[in-house]
Amino acid sequence: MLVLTPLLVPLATALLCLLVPPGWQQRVSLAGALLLLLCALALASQVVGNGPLTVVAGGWPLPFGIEFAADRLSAALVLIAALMLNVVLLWQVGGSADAAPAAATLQPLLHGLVAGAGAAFVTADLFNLYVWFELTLICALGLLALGGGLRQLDATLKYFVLNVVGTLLLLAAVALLYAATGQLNFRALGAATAQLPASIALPLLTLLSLAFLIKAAAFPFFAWLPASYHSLPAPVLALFSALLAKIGIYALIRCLSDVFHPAPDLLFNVLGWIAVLSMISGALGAAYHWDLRRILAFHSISQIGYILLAIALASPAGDAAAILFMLHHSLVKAALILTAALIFHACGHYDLRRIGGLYAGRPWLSLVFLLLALSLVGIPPSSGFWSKFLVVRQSLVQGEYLWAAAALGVGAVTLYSMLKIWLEAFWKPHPDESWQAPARHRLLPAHAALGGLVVLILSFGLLPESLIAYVMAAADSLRGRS
Amino acid sequence: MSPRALLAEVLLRILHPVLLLASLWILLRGHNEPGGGFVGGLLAVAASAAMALTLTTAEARQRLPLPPPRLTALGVLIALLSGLPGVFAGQPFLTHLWVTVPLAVTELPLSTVMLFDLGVYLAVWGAVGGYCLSLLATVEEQQ
Amino acid sequence: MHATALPLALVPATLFALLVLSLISVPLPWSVSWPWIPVLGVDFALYVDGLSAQFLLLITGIGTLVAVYGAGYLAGDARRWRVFALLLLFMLAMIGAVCSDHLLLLFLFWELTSVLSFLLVGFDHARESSRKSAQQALLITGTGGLFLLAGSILLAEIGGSYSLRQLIAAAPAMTDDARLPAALTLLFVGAFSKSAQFPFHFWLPNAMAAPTPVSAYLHSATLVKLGVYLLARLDAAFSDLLFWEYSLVGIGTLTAVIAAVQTVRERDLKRILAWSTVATLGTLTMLVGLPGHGAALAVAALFFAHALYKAPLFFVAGNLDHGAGTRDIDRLTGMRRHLPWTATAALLAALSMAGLPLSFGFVAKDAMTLAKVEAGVFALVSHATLFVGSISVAVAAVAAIHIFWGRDNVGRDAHPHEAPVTMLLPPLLLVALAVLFGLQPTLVDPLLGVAAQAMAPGFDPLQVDSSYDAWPVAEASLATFGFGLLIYLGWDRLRTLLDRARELDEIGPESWYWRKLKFVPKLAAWLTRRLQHGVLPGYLLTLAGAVTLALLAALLVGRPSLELPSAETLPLPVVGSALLIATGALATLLVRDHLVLLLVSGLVGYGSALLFLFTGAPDLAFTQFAVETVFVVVAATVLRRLRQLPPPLQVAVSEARWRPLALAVSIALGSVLSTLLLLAAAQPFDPQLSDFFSAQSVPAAHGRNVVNVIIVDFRALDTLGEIAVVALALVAALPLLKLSRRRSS
Repeated sequence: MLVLTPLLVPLATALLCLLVPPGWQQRVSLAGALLLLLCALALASQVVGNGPLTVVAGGWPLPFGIEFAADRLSAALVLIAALMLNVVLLWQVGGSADAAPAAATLQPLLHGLVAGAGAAFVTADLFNLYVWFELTLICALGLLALGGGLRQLDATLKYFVLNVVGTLLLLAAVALLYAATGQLNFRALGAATAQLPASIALPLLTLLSLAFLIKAAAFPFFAWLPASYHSLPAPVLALFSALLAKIGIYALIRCLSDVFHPAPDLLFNVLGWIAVLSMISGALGAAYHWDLRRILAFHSISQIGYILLAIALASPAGDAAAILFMLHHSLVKAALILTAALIFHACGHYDLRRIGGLYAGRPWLSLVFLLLALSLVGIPPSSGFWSKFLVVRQSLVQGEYLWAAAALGVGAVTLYSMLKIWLEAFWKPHPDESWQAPARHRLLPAHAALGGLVVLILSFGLLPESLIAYVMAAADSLRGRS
Repeated sequence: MSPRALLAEVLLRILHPVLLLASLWILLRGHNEPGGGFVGGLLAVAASAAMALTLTTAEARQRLPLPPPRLTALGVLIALLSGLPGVFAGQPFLTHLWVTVPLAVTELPLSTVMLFDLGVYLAVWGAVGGYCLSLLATVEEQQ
Repeated sequence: MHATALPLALVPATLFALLVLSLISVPLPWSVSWPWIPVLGVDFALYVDGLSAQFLLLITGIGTLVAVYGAGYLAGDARRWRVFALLLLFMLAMIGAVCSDHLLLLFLFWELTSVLSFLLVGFDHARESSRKSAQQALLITGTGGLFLLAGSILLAEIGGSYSLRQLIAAAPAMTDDARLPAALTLLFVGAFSKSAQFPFHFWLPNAMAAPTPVSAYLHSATLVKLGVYLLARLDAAFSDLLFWEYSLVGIGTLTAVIAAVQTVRERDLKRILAWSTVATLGTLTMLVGLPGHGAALAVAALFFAHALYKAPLFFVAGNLDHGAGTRDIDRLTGMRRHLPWTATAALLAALSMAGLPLSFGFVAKDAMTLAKVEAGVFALVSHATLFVGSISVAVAAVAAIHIFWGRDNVGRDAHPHEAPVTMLLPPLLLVALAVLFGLQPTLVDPLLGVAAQAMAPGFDPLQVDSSYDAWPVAEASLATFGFGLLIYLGWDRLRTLLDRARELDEIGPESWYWRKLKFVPKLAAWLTRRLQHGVLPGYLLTLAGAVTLALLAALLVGRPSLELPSAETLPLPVVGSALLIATGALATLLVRDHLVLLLVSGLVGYGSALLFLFTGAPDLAFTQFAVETVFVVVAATVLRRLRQLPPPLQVAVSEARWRPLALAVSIALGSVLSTLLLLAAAQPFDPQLSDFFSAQSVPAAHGRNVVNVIIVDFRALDTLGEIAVVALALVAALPLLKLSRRRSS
């Protein structure tokens, strides 16, 4: 039952939020989020203690029923999703610092998004996975359109059209794999695909990977991400960046490294170069922009490149690096987005050219940004450093020198763009000389949410032993190694 | 109001409950004969849409048991909850339970499957009905 | 009211005292290690040998004096607490760096020092030039750090350990590995960027934007020595490699010469001192590269001597800035009468810098000359060091004679005044030590001996002394001194001469850096405007094109054989739905109006829904229907709203010039997907699932309608998901629906 909670708890909360009177909505929402967090913790501890948990809905024998299975990889991502949901809802309580508009549909859609993501992380059935992709797509769409302004609608349209193509390609891939093998359950599908001639399996898996790469916002499919992210209110953006692209990446790891293992080498080789191009184009996009949210959005693409690079290494250590990088990026990027929201609150703008003076005006915010930015760049001892270190080391160990060089070079460009934010927002005097940092009204929930996140991130950086051991075990349990 | 419209209105006031009853019947027989929650829900939507087209969307909205978003949410929630009795009986989620209630002449099989299908029915009715009514309301206001 | 931050100097002072006591009572080396990340083999492993100990003494000793000096220098400045916090953190990071035995730990502290240096250089961040200098310092040392990381990883892979001690022990076995030159090159880049070696040398003078105590500490005594420290640390392992020797001697000498020339071009005393620091760092790099025990001793001596004379000179520069309001050497003359104590410190420091007898600088110069003789360096290197040494003499003369003993032409309105005692004690103490050790070198012999031992295992001071030949040393000293005096006398003329060669800057690495710094945003703009142009059809085209190419490549790699199925088995409704889909798709090509286009494209979606319905998948049909409806509703609303926009913001739905390409890509994608479908369908289908559902529908699931049983029982979880999609789609679309209603009313 525990393995179903990533779906059932947020879905039930979303529905209850629609059913209860408006005054109760926030309480129900917070209670549901907290319950989800507890379930996710329990799930993780069960998985660590007793190994993967599985259940087949309806109790049907495999491969006929729909299986939900949680291993360490799934449990970690579910935990991150639950955590981020709580952070976002806590932020939303204050209602200031670029919070989402208090629409009646906000809470159901947030929970619906997490339900879709959570279920996608634990399902062990390819068609069922597609269903959860749809659920996240619909909820994301609703959240994007929430403000109803012109920017939001433009972003919604681009997000929707490009993602629908990805979803349809995924559906096509599921259908074609089913036509070729007659299976949908991961294990049965993997075994059956291994029997297919290589000349058929390669294009089918390519199609499946392409669908996931579109969802993951990899080069050259990333256009939807920068086109839509900058229009979102900060807490929703934080949740998006922690979940949306990650679902695609998760599915890619699950399929290439687990379900269809051993996937064709060619696929991994090409993936490596896609990763390199994603890293470069994302980092340069960030260097180009002046809007904080756009900079952070492009950074996500570059960081996704790192994760894909780790997957492309096609080794247990590579997978471990990919998982660690995913966890790190979900937390740090979300924290940076929330930091940007506080910058916005202090200066009234996301545009670096119109803000400044925060080093003197907001010393604690400066410190938080500095720590997070250094983590993103990969300066030790930070979660970002350990993630990047694992990727680079494994690339070098496997003799992929060009990939390692790209990873390090992009690190330098990342440093450049983070420095840009620092120089403009913090060191440069505010362009308006009469500017004064505004009073901090109703910021306590926001500060609590960001502070908690930062403490977690710092502890992962300083004491990464248990986390790295966890992701290594998670990578080892892929491919039926456990 | 023209006599024709009046006739249509009278007819619809009679037809509407009949259509709804029919949709319920289709829902209930679905497990063994063609039908089920999806189709039943569609028929219910048709009933609401017909109401909206002949009379007003407001009228059709009033005839719904709940506002569309709540109706559809309730449906999904019922479908979700129908999976829980199995869990309490020590089975996996969505394992359906069957009981047979003896009646005078025959036996009535009852199951959580029916609850699930009812959920599907309400979800479809609420959601698709909701789209239709909203769209029709847009057209209505433009006229 | 004065120097409220003075008590903070107790922190480094205590550390210094503890260190001295420990050095006296506990024999070197010290080592301690705690497990940190066992799964990665990362230990918090510290190891202190003679080399580390020498650095520790400098870090804490100079640190104490800098703290005392800084308390005076920054008295009354509101930002002093921040500066002191950063300085103390920096000191800890430096201590960590020189004590680390684990390469990753070293890297960690190394990067920390870079970041802290960045924050300190940007002290005066309201000025754009300060920000640029700070940015430059971090970009260069930070990027260099990335090379260091790569080099460390590679070195650890070759040697099988991240422990410096184990790597040094394993070095003889590593020389055969083909990756070693690459690993060392990467390490060199890291070390050179940190220690301001060519071609990264230019960041250091620019870092003089920092407050003077910071410059004295970071950019002369400690931070910039870290790169040389790493090289010295690895010297024990790789000094026998010719690659090692040639690289270090070559780059070190080149750096020293370039820096020496640049020194003459400056007017700002601090920048003069910075360039001369770069020259010393180059000399140190060169000495590390030289083989032999004498070189090791010379490195240790020069480390020590440089700290003793360069820090006081920086303090002098700070006092002049503080007392006379300028650091321009053209405007500073005859300051002796106004700043007598500062003048004393400057004179004694200059003695050491020039390497004159009775100073510790003389001892260091002595050791250097011997090292060169022992190693038998090329004549070119020898001449170069002579030149660099002469410039040092000239700079020393500028700092001491020109500024303090020149003609007093201070205007009546300017009132230069002596610095407070907190700013005088530190330089005076250091120069006093320099004189003491110059008179009595045996006092520091043990310290230099153990440091040299760490660089050259089996170091034997006697071995150095045995080759003693007084004549070359004296000859070199005299030549340096005389030549240096000539340069001092011709300083102004030389500077005018060099100013004319300004065009040479255009090809130097610094202008390369600025060009690259401008190039990054340009490249970024070029690329981003092409990739993220904001035009949705363009995005779709890219997406479809990339998918098509990838699938085509995947098909071409395997070249599966394709058999076309016979058309007889197709039922009529299926053919009908397929035709509806095709009609809808083709009709989209002919329609211009956006809303009609949307509706026609809906035919495709609804046709697909019909197809699902006829092939027995109503739940899928239904979802398709719902999604399609939402899409139509949402897209229609959006399109209608966007029509009200001014033209520049309006989404260009189709651009004429892309149409032929779009058509080609669409046809190609359709063909590729159809080919895939035919291939997949040609595989023998495994009916296991459908057979099970048919067989178990009645006995296990109590239902005769198999489709319904699949929906509500066998795959009820899919259905739950789909009705959740349907329900939340309504929730998602509701605000838009209301929006469009409000618009039209």
